[in-house]
Amino acid sequence: MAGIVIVGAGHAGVKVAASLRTMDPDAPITLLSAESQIPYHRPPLSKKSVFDAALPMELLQANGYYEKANIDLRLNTTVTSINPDVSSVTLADGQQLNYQQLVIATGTKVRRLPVPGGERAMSVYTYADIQTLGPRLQSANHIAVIGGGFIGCEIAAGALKIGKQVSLLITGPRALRKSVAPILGETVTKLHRQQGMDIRTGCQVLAITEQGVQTNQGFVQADLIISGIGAQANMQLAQAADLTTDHGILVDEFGRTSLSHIYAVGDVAEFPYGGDLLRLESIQNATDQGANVAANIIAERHHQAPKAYTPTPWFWSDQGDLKLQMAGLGNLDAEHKVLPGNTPNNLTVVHLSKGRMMAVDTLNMPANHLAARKLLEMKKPITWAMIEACDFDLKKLFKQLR
Amino acid sequence: MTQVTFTQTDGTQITVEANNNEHLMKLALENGVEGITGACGGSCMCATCHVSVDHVSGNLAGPGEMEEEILDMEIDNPLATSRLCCQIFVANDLNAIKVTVQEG
Ligand SMILES: Cc1cc2nc3c(=O)[nH]c(=O)nc-3n(C[C@H](O)[C@H](O)[C@H](O)COP(=O)(O)OP(=O)(O)OC[C@H]3O[C@@H](n4cnc5c(N)ncnc54)[C@H](O)[C@@H]3O)c2cc1C
Ligand code: FES
Repeated sequence: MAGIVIVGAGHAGVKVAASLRTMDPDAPITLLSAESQIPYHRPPLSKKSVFDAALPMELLQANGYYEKANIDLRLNTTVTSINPDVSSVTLADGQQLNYQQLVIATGTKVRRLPVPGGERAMSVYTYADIQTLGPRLQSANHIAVIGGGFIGCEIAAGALKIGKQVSLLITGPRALRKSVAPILGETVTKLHRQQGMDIRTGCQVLAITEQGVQTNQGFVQADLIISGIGAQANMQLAQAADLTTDHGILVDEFGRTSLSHIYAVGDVAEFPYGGDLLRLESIQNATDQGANVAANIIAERHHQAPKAYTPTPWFWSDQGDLKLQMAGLGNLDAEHKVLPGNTPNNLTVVHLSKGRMMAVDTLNMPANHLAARKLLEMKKPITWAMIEACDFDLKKLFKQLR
Repeated sequence: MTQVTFTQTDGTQITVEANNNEHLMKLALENGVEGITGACGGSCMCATCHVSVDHVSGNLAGPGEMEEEILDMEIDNPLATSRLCCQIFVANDLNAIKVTVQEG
């Protein structure tokens, strides 16, 4: 009997499956994964697993869960096409699987360095990647990391912490330029440099050789080169099936694609958010959107009205001993105000747009992050004056408004 | 080796032998303990690994700042013994620990 088929068993696909099972004990659920590992958490890969000789893996669901929950998890199973006319997907071995509802949760594809020798740079996306990279990292002396985003910074900081010589090559003026308030990016750059990281800003990679990286600022010697220059939505399947796409697979506020009975979730989905379209690469989004789509599939199966997805985005990044936490959707064009009480290693920055708090970035100030997340989740207007009136204590403000 | 015992919500117990540096959330998932989700992968960002500590033989380090904040803000009625088990690490001087799974 046809049931719900989910393509991709990352954070989003697994959340859809598990939420479906909680809401409906009987619906047939098939979860297809191109990977050979039982589904696992990605964030630890670049924060700790790759630096630990034991290469620890954190499971997304407990051992035995899929059998117990009667979820048909098939590893090493790649979907090669979606056939909406006959409501089926084709697998790499030629088998056809019919669906009543299909969920596309195919995540992203790592961007490759478009320079000569670019294929020499390793990247971190799957557990298989760190199985190759981990041992090479242990034996390397000088590591060059290309890309100053979260994953690049995490790998560079972790490698430095286990005693490697590390060069971080960044095209922009500071680390995390696109993702956090400028003052936080500058602070993180400064703190990593103080630990001995060789950070080169305004650095264009021209070529990669066996000896290292050729840049516009000269040659950087390295015996291991890792790139973290971002990712693109993994949406060829959807494009080939004529689903509407943009930077991701376009979905409405209920997670529905342009074709009926087909949903998309997680990193691959682009959804309406505050009058705009947004594609997020985060655990928060994969998990919350996954739960939402599961509920909407159950609603579809019972001819009930779907519920809109209205997230409060949040994200974190552990870089050596630095803990960054972002609540809300930050904006480089916003007004950035630093909360008093910061020290060289602690910082809280509030993003204000039209006088209203849109996001809060913190460095080593977990209490402020959590309070900010709670405040934003209330979806009430928060102004700087309100924060000031609470002696800049976000937790106090939350307890007052709750 | 440290002996770790999880009491599940239905009262049944699962006991495992654990190695140093492993955290209890990882152990719970690997051994199929019911009621521990570990949504954030042990990054101390959710609260889906809430337990109460019933018994400790040996030394157990206390909660950090983030853990205390999460317990305070995310959990309706934290117990005096409430912990996030992704922040409880097995160590040489921890001989045995018993925890009960609590609502996340
Ligand atoms: C190293 C690293 C660190 C990260 N750190 C953080 C962090 O600290 N905090 C945070 O919020 N986010 C972090 N992220 C981002 C987060 O992991 C992603 O947002 C999340 O994994 C998205 O989940 P997803 O299910 O949409 O996609 P994915 O987890 O990417 O899963 C997609 C799955 O689909 C499979 N697939 C693709 N095509 C097919 C096909 N045709 N057939 C079958 N299977 C297919 C893929 O093999 C993959 O397993 C990190 C990501 C990485 C790579
Ligand atoms: S697993 Fe999220 S706080 Fe422990």
